[in-house]
Amino acid sequence: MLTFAFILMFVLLLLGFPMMVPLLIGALALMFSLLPGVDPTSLVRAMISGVRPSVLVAVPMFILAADIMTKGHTANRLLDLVHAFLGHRRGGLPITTAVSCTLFGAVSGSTQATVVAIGSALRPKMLKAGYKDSFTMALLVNSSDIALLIPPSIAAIIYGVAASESVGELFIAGIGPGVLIMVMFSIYSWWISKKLDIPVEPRVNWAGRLRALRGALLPMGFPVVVLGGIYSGLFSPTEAAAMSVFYALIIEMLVYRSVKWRDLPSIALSTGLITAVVFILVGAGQAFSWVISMAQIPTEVLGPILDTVADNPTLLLVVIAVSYFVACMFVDPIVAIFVLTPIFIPAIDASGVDPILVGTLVVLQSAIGSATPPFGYDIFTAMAVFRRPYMEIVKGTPPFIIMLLATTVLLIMFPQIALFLRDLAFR
Amino acid sequence: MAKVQGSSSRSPIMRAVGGLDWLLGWLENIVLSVSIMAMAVMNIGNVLGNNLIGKGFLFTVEINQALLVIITFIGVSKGARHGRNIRMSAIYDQAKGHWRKAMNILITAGSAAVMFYLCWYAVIYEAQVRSIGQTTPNLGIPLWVLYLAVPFGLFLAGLQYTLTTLRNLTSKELYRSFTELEVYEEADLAAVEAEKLEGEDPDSDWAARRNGNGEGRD
Repeated sequence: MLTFAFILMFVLLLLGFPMMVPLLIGALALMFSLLPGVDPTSLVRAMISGVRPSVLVAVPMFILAADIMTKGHTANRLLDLVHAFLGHRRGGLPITTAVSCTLFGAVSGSTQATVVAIGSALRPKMLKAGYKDSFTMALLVNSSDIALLIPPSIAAIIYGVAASESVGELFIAGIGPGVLIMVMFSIYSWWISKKLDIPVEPRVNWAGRLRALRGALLPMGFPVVVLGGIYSGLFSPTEAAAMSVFYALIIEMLVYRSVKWRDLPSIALSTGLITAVVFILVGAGQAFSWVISMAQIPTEVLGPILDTVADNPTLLLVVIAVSYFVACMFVDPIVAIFVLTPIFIPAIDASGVDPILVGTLVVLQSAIGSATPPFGYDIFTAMAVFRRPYMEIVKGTPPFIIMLLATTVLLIMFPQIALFLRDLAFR
Repeated sequence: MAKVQGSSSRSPIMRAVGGLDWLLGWLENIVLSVSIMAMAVMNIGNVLGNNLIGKGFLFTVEINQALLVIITFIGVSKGARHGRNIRMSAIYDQAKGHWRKAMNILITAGSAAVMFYLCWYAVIYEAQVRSIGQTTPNLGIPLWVLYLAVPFGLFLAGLQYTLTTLRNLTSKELYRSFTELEVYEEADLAAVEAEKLEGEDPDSDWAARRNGNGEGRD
């Protein structure tokens, strides 16, 4: 029955059903066959309890802050700053792209907002400079996924809820791998620029740099509000999210005056819709994971395998990384997190592996999966934003996937990449 | 009233359904945007209150939880209305003509069935919660009132998927929702993009953006 349920879910997924439908049908099929006495109202209850945790409020609040900033000038000012300091170097434009995506990720937490805000401004310039479109779009899609790792990270919040782990610790642990990926992308961009012999842009003088720095001071305050607030103990992650909305409103409405009062209802509606399509997956994922936990499927199916790898933490991390990577290639990371996390939690607890390291690894796999064919979510965002065919967007992806997988290997081999800052802040 | 794209039926019944659909869509928009704005105002007020005068809103947690449920379930319907619920469309996108339409009808009809099925059990769950008489701890709002969004939203989502199925069964064109045509055509988009890139000077775009910021460039 288990095999049948998974095949049915996979077929429905491939046919193009909204992802909540295969999850709910899978949950119902497993419930009817393995839990005959259980009422389907339990599924509804599980869906409701899935979307009720208060920490999830951080998700719509960070999305709202990102929507306000995307409508306003924040992205351009950050981009100007990075370009003023790095634009004149070899590979200046793509390096600016990677660094700007990281910075904008640090203020918005949204990969889609990053693709829109940075991609719309930089892609035409990169094409004019002579970079191939396939490289440009792959760089944008993959750099935007650094936003998933750099706090505020929506994937970290979702994992924190699914695994009952500290969102604050997950946030700070994502910084190391995020910066590592940014550096790798920058080196690759430098090499591509050298290979294509792209002319170097003129250096911006110090007056220009200071002007760019002054212009970006307020947007650079976002990480201070979010991270500073959380790690000083002033705010919880949810409160930091609310303050990031407050900060976005102040700088975009009062200082830059780029967002008007009349814009707010449409911005809020956009946030509401994005939140809803994400959260219904959280609800359906919770219902599915409730059924498989009740039916003790993780113990029965994966128990023997996990018992074997539980004694070998490195092997366990490899199994977790591969499982989430493959899952995120096919389904939305939220679904993967809710379906797989309850399966692995017992083994993680038994193995003594740091759960924050596991969470960071899972968030990293979500980032990789979001940009990886066949179904990486950000590929479809890029299709909508840049209006290019699927194949053209994924053509330049392989080198980036290799760099991201290398980051995974490095993270497993050297956990301090993620845990160093966490230990510094919390231990 | 929301304009129906394509050569859809102008029969009085379809017009009446269209009117009702517009009204429901308007209500969804109000609920979603008001919920998000209320959530923002309440949470910002709570943080400022806690940190500035040492006094926040006691009801923040319970209202947040209620708003999360309302946004999720009313938003599902909004997602169905605009074909925005997350799905993997790679294979669907490769299908053409009648195959694509058949897949669309299967997907929307199947999704409608699941939504209506869960709606029924959400109604039963509502009745159970009501019979227990549970209320929120600080404001004392009955939980069943806050959870009304669950059956209502699932029903509206089922209705949207049903209307899309009917629209596709009764019209020549392919609709992604009751009122919106599926317009994705790679060739057209590629042509538009090529034209856009040829016609624009990225430097002037860059300068325009900077000037919009009130900044100059060296």
